[in-house]
Amino acid sequence: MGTQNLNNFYFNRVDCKLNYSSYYDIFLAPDEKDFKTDVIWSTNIIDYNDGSKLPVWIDLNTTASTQPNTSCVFQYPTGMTSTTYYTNNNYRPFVILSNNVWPDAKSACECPYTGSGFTICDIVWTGLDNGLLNINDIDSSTPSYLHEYPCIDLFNDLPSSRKYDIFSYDKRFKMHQVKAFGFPWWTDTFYTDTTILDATDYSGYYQELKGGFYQGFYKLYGYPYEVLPTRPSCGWSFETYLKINTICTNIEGPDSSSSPHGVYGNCYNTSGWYLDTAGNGVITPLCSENPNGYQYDTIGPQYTFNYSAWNGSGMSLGRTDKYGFFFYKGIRAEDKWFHEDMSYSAFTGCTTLSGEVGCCYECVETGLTGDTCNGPTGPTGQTGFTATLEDPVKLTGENKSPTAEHDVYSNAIGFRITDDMRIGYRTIRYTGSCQTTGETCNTGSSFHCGYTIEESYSEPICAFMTQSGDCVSNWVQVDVVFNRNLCLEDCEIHNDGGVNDLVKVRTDKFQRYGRHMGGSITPRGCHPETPNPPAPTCKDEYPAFISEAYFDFNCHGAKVQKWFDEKNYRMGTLIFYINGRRVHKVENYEEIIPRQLNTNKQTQVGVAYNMSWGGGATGLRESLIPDMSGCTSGCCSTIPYDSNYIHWSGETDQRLIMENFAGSFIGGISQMMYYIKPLTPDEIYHNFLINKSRYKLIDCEECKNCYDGCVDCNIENSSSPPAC
Amino acid sequence: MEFFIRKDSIEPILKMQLVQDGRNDFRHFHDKLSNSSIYFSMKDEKTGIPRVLNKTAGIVTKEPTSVNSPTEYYIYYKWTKRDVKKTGRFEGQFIIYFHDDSTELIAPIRENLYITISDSFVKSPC
Repeated sequence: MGTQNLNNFYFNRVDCKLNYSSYYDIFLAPDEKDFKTDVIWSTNIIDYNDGSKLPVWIDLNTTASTQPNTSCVFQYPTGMTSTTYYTNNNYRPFVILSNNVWPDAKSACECPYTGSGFTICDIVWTGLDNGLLNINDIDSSTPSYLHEYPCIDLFNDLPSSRKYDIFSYDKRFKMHQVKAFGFPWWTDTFYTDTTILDATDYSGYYQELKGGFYQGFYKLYGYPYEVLPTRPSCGWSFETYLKINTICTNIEGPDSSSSPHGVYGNCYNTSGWYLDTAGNGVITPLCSENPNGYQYDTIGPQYTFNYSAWNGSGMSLGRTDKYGFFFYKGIRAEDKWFHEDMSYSAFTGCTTLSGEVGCCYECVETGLTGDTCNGPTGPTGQTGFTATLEDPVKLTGENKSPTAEHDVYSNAIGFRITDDMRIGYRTIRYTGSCQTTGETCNTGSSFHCGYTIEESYSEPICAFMTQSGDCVSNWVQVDVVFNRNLCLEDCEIHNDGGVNDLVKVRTDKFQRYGRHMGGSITPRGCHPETPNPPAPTCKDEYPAFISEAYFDFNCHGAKVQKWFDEKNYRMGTLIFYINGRRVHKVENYEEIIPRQLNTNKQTQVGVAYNMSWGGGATGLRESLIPDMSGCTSGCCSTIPYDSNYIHWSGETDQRLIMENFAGSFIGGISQMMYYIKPLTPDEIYHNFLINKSRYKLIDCEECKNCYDGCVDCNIENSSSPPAC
Repeated sequence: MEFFIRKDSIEPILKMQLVQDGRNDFRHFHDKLSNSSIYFSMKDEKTGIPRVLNKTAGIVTKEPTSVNSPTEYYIYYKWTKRDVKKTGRFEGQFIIYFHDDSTELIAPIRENLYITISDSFVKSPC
C-alpha cells in the first residue's frame, strides 16, 4: 500500500448517517407456542401447583397455611406471671406452613431405613434464642433421644395432629413466630413485644405485625432435612403482599432534624413510630401495654425491636436504622458458642448431648458376638455390630472461623421498606481486594479481607399512593428477583463461585473426599462417597464439619482467593417491583449464598439457612445461656435441663446480625411466595393482575398521571385515618 | 402484514415481535419493554370506525433458546368475544408507553397491520 497523502484525498471528509440504534419496529410473530402461555391464559398465580418452581406458597387466608387464632390476650403476658407465660400453650408462637412442596425436599433419612422419623435434641442449645423453645420446654424434659420434647422431629409426612406443632417438620417449609424471651425473662416485664394479631379486610383474613414476624429454617446442616435448595440454578424470586399502614393525615416530615429517617411528607410508615404534630413520639399500639396510651415518653419504644438496640450492657432506646424488614435470608445469629469461656470458664469442656443415632442407625463393628445391630426400627440382625449413639462434641470454642463475625459475611441479606417509602436491601458483604501498596498481590502481602455493609434503595415507591395524600392503608405487591448472569447446574452450583470454594478438607481426610491430579482414585463429584465407606452416611452431605472439613477464611490462603476469583459466577441483577412495576434495579449485584456455621452441627441447629417474613433476624439479642456463675466443678452435668438461664447478648464480634437486622415490618401480611427461579416481568405482572381485585391494587405507573380519576386508580379502600 | 382470525374465535392471539435487523439495540428495547404499558386499537379499514380502542395488551416472555440467552418478549393482544363479533378487515396499532424514560411508541411503523376477521359457520356447543 502506498503512502497516503491527505492532500490527495478526494472523498467527502465529513459525512453522517442515520443512527438506527433506537429505531424499533415490530412485525407479526409466527403462530408458535414458544412463549409462556400461563402468562396469558392462567387464572392462577404463576406455577401455583409446581413445587419445583414455587416450593413455598403461604396464604394466611387459607387453612392450609395457618390457623387464625391470634389476639392480644395471648400475645404478651401483661399482668401474668412468667410461669404462666411459659406453660400456657396458648402463648406458643404461631406456626404457618407452605401449601407447596419442593419435589427434591428431604426430611428423613434416604438410606434403607424404615423408621417413622428422625429426632434432633440438640435444638436445646439454640432454640431459646428466637422463641422456638421456651424455658419450660427445657425444664420439663429429659435428655433422651426418645423424648418427644423439646427435640425436633422430622417426618416425611406430618401426622395431622402435628401440622402446626412447632417441634415437628416435614417437607413443607414451616415458619414460626419469633418470640423474645431473653431480656429479662425472670420478671413479668418482657421488654420486646413480638405481637402478631388477627385482622380481616376486603382481602380476607390476614395478620397485622406489631413487632413480631415469622422465621423458619429450610435446611439443618448435618441432618437429613433440606426443604429448599440453598442455591437455585438461575436465581430466585420472593413475592409478598404487604399492607402499608397509614398513621394519620397531617404529618409533616422528616420527623426529626437529627434523624435522617422520617415520614418525608407521606403518612405511611413501616417502623411503627412517628412524631405527631405536637412533637411527641408515638408508636403503633402494642399488646404489651395499656392501649390507652402509647406515648414514647412514658412507656416507650423499648417494647419493639425497631426502637431498641443492645449496647453491650443493656438496651439503648431510640430510633434505629434496622426497621422495616419484610424478608430476610441467611444465618439468623452468630455462633452463640463461639468463645471458649463465654464469660464463664466453666463452659470449657462441656459437651453437647449424646443420644442421636445417625441415618440408617449406623452399625459400628464391635467384634463381639453378643452384639446385634437392630436399632429401634432399623436394619436388623447384624451380629458383631452395634447401633451407637453419636458422640457429643464440645459446646464452646469449636468454631474454625477467625472471629464469630466471619460466619455472617456474605451470609445474611435483608429486604426492607423504609419510612420514606423506599425499597431496598442490606447485606453484610465479605470483601477482599488488593491494596495499592505498590506490591503485587502475588506475594499475598497486599491482599486484605474484611466486610462492608452494602445497601441500595429505590426512589420513593408508588408516589401516586404514598404521596397523594389520601392516607389510607393500602396493600402492595412486592417482588424481589435475583437473576444470576449464568445459570448453573449440578456440581457447578456448589463449585462455581459456591461455598465449596471456601471448604478446606482436612489433610488426613483428603483421600476420602477427593484425589490429586493423576491419582488412581476416581473422582467423587460434588457429593463424595468412599468406595467402601467405613460407615454409611446420608447422601448429599458435605464432609462433616468440623471433624473432616471447614471453611478456611485465611485471607492469603487458596480458598479465600478462589472465592474472590470466582466472583463472576455469583454476579447477577437484583430487581425490585411494586405492584408489578419495576422500581429499582441493582446491576452487578453479587449473590448471597447461605451457608452453615463453621462449627459442629450440634451447636447450630436451626441457626443457618433461615428465612424470615415480616422481619429480619434478632441475632443474639434475645439469647439465653445456662447460668454457670460460681460453678467450679461438675457444672456441665447440670446443663441444659437443670440450669437457670441468663441473658446473653454476645461478645463484640457476635453483634453484627442484631445491630443490622434485628427489626421488623410494622403492617399487614397476607401471602408470601418463594420461587426458585427468577420471575420475568410478565409473570410478575400476571400475578399482579390475578390478585389485583383481592387486594385492590393499583398500577402505580399507569396511575401516576391519572390524578383526575381513572377507573382503576381509585384508592378508596377504607375510611381515612384521623388527623394527628 | 395480514393477520387472520375467525369470527367468534379468540385464538390465535395477536402476537408481534421486534424487527431485529442488526441495527438497533434490541436488548435495550426488551429492557424498556419490560417496564411498559401497552394498548391496542383496531379500526375498520373502510369506515374508520374503531372496533377496539386502547384496550390493554401485554408482553410475554419468549421461551429461551438456551438457559443463558437474554430475555426477549412478544407483544400480544388477547382477543375478547366482543372484538371478533363482526367480520371485516381492520387495521390495528399498538401504543407502548415506556415508563423508564416516559416515552411512547406507536407501532408497527413501516408496514400496516391488517386484521381480517372472516366468517365462521361453526358455533360453540356450550
